[in-house]
Amino acid sequence: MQTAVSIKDLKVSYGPTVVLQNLNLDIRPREFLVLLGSSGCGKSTLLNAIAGLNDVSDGEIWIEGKNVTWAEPKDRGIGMVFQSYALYPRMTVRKNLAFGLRVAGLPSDEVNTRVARAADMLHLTPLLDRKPAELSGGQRQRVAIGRALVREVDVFLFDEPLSNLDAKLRNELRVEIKKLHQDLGNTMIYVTHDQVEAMTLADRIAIMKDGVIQQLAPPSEIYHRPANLFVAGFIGAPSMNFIEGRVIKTDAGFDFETGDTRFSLDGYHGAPVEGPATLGFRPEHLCLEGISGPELNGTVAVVEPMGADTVVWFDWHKQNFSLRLMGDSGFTPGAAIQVGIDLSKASLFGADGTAL
Amino acid sequence: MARRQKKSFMPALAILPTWLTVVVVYIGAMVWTLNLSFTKSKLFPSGAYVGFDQYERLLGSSKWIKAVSNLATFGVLYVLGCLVIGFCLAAALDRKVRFENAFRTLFLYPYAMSFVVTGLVWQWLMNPVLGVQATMQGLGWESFSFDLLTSRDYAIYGVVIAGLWQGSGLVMVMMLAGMRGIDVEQWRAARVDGIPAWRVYVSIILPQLGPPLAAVATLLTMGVIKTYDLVIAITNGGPGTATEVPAKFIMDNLFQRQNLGLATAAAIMLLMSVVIIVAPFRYASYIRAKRKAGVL
Repeated sequence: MQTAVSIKDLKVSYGPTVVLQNLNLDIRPREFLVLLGSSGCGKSTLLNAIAGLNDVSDGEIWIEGKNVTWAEPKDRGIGMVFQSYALYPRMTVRKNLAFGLRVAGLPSDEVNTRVARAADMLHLTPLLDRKPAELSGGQRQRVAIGRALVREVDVFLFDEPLSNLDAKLRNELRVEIKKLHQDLGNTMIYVTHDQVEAMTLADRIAIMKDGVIQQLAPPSEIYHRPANLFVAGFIGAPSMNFIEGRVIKTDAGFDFETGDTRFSLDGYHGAPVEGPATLGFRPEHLCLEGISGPELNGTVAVVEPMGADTVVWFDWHKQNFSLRLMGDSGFTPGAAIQVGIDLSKASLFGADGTAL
Repeated sequence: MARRQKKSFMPALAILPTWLTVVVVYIGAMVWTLNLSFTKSKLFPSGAYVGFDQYERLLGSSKWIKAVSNLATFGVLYVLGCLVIGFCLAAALDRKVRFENAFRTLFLYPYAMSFVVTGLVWQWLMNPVLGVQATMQGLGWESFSFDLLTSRDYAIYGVVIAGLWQGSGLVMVMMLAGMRGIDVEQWRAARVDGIPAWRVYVSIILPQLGPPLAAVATLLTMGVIKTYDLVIAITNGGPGTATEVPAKFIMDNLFQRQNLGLATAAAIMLLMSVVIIVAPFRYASYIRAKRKAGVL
């Protein structure tokens, strides 16, 4: 299969600290891949290694069928957008866009066409003669994207491009980036710690922890079928509810036992194995009516109305659980609540944390 | 109300000594100098006013003209040279070289020295009989010559070299500090753009170093105008008047030639030239500040 970017057995270390080891990742052409993880998980290191801004200790990086492991960043066919925008502060927007091309020795007609095209695409045309200091954060980030755009490369790298913006701008620019990807059809690799960005933008998400990719899958799969406890807990807000217990084999199938409660795992999609386990279910996969599976009888602790939906926090067996309801709930703290778990959408994790 | 007065009284009291110094020493001395420059004072101050006679004498003095032109040569070469060398040194150290701290100390060290020491060191180095020239010739390079200080035409460049050696380190430290304040992501962006390092320094980094550059240029220029000890130690103004500078001219006339009137006239001329150079800059920054505040 043709890949846009291919990473083979990559190892990156800073002195004795190994950040990435034996990392393999294939990115398809025109794919929007998001590297997601909390800070220090190695996602930026991986992106910088792809860009050629970090030295690689071992392994290979292939971009568009060429081994670029030791190539200079400019020769890799990449454009990059940085968190702090990294615009050249004393140059106008036009010069910022054109500078790299000029230095590369492109004829000035070509430079002007490319700059005009990028400016048009990003609605920067009226701002071309301004300096970065005279632009808003969102405009600056658009210029930074433009600087990657004029390079007319196949692969775009984004290093947390929206994290310096306020929430409203972030939403707007997120939509713009998605539209840009649909219009251009380039391969994009996007690093973020924001799961909303990851879920909304990605064709596939690679969730990383401690330099290891935990799961590489489309957003819906990551959300509904997390590969392990870390992924399950990382994605989703409020996060997934967990009950610790053990799986017991019975004549009819499998039971889940926690404390003095025991219920059948009928309807679970996976293949449970006997032994200690954790049952996970998302707040919206609990139901108040038509309960068919296991039941939890608890007490409402806190109600958080959010407009479109309401999160009800309740206590059951001294543990705190969240329940997401559409619209308003009508619950008040202290009230008794009876909810059922939709086992067909729940996840079960074995003793080592991987999904069963 | 009483509290408010007390509040403004304490700062005023604290600032009073400085204020007195400014009024009495600086402004007082300036007025007194200006006054003397219109008299025919010789060894002692005299009250006999002669109008602009001293100034006419001054402008007619070939020694003064030579001193001013030397100052211009020295000033331009010294300030520009220090800026260029200092910037290059800073750029070199900015490349994350090994032993950066050692190099930084080494390059800044001359600045910690008195100009007299610098002058003496370079006087020896450039002395044809015992300096670099003698060493190189002793090693067998018979035609080697490095005797700027003995030449009437080139002695001033010898002084410039000594000055550069002393002043470049300061520029380097200021520029290096400025470079370290620049966002590293700009470097990454430039690498992705494929911009060579020297081009990044010239086109991206240098334009951002405006404020430290202005500060250091001001410091160096002030040093130029009061250049005295360096010249005294290295050439004592010679050969002939080849390295004569205004400050030395003033000191000579004050204390050796007993020519108080001429010396004060020269001092006033020096002051006026500083005002003429500095005033436009001050005015420009004043206008800029006003514009920024939205007043203009």
